[in-house]
Amino acid sequence: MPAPVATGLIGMWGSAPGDGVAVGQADAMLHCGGSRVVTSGGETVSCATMTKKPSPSPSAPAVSRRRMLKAGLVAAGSTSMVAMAAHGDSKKVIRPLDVPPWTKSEGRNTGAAYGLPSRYEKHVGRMLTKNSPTKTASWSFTPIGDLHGMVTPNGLIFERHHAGIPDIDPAKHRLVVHGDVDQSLMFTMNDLKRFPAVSRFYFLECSGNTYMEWRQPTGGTVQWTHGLISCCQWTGVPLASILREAGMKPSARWLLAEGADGAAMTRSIPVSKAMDDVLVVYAQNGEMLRPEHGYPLRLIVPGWEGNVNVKWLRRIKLADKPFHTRQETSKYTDLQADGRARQFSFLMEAKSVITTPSVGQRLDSRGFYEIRGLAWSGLGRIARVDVSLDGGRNWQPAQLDEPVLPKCLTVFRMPWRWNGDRTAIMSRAIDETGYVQPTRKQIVAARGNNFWNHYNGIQAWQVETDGTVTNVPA
Amino acid sequence: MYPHNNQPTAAALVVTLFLPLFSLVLLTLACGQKTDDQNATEKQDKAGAEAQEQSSPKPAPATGAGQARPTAPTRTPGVSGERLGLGTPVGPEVYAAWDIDVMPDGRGLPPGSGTAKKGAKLYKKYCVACHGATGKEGPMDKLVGGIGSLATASPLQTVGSYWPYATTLFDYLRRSMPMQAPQTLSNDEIYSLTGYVLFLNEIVGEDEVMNSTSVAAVKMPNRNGFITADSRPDTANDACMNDC
Repeated sequence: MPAPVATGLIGMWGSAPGDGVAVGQADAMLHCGGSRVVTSGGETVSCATMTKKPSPSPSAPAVSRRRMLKAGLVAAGSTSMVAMAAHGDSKKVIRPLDVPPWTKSEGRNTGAAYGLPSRYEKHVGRMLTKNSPTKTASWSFTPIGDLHGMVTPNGLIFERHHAGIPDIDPAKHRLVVHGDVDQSLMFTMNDLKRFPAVSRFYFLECSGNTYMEWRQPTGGTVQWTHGLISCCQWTGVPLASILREAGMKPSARWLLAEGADGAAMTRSIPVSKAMDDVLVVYAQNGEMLRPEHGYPLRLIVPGWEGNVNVKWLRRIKLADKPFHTRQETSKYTDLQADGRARQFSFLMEAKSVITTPSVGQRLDSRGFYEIRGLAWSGLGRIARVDVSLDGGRNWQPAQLDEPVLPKCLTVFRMPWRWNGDRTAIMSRAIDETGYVQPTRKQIVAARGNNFWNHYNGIQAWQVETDGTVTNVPA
Repeated sequence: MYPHNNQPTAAALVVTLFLPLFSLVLLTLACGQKTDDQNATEKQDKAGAEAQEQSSPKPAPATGAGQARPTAPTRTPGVSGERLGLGTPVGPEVYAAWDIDVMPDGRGLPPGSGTAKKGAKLYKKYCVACHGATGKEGPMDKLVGGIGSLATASPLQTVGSYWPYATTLFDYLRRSMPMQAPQTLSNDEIYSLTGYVLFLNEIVGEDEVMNSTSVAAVKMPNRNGFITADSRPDTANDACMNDC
């Protein structure tokens, strides 16, 4: 996992959940006799006197972690804690507050060229699948259970690659537009940045997101079950603007989008979609695209399956028909029970999932919690999200965080007082077209069990009496 | 971006030489600048329509005000009007090395030829490590077998059982394979490997010549196995609220 390593004492004291180290044993505060501590990787500690003192506060997650390890509930990768201790329910000894060393010393220097998360957040990271025999043609999951709000940080956006991550020199990168056009054109990155730019928030979801839940609940964390989704503010040029420069011939009905990676990944996209809202983007969340997300240029096809959002975009060819590339025939097609397969099923329909509480997290005690989750729809805005606290018998609308944008992640929230009983919680998204997120049974009835893609069934989590959370049938 | 940087100099000149006219000229310049900005804004109105809508849940000022919220966005973003003149006109001689796609009717298939017999040796050299001795072993995608399995509980989707077009096989081999060195084999080699994978699936003969016409003419077993119209929504949850 390429988690950022901050300057500090990682490996000595700051082992975060996810390292496989019992946190309580390593958890300590570092006390230095007057001089500053400047260390790296736990190797050098230029401090005259150093003592370990038990830290009062973080012991709760440590206990949770050990219990979960015992219970076998910790899936590989990131596991976050819901360390939400309620008033009057703690058996811990409350000590007088210390003045910690970070208050009694100067902090580290200003001016790191690129800031990184706190070393205490090392457990928050992408998780590589174990279902691919290679690390180049593979995928990794966004830790949505550890994140906040609607935007996914650039370093945590899920990945799907077919031939690894290319190292592209933007000065040498070109976009060629040709085929059924009046004039074939070649664009440099500088050319593309001269176009009037737009910045828009859109979700990006792999069509295979949650495929593992199709047949039965897997027991995985929400990162594993729903982590092939991310949301960014994308900046670039409407594809319509670029196509207008080349001038499309009336025969142009489809376009081929091709990547410059070792897979030269290709997908066919209808021109009608291209002229609607497709973007050719060079930036995400305010900075240039990351290499793993298409640097320096990619397609964003709002609301449609991730695979058509071709990364490292080098070529667009207009034609009268689709090209039937390998991706759109053998891979991103949906096999029905009758043996026939659906092709060009681009849309990602409305879906939602509760991210807190979810598997891998633990409720410390009875009392107040806020149920939180994400909802999205490839058809437009989320109109409503309903939450059930009794296994789907009764539902109530959740609050939606503004802004509620079309084809974008929407955060929902619901206040909840847990009474300590076993409780099955679930969410159900409804978009502005009136489409209601279906149950797993409804999906299987319509499509059979041989589908892999476009699974958007209602997800249930069960809060057990000990506060742990399990993945159960909805 | 907008041309108003020279105006202070021009204004200074005006003040010195034509003091009585100062106010009038300055007003004119100010108006001119405002008009430039307005033009630029108007040009971008359509491009920015959705962005404006996204930037605020409330109706956007001016152009956005009073517009009904669309139920499903169907706007055409982009710059309206004339072309911007960006990009360099190029001909096929410039992008030929990238123009490698192949369509089911054979468009894009290059000159050259090969046979399964020749492909067998290439397969051993380039493919066997990932796809197995007979194309059935993996560990990567299985290429052979599965015909008749698609409607069962254990479907096996291979080139033979699932892929609708042989042109797709040629296209994919040429653009993406072998994985560690894609786009390094000759067209003849790609034709031979195409033939060999089809031969392993008992779709073509060992000596059948694969070329720009024969690959497009191959009838794949699952040619008619696809439905291209999206039938969704195919579920109808009723959003029941109580006693469901």
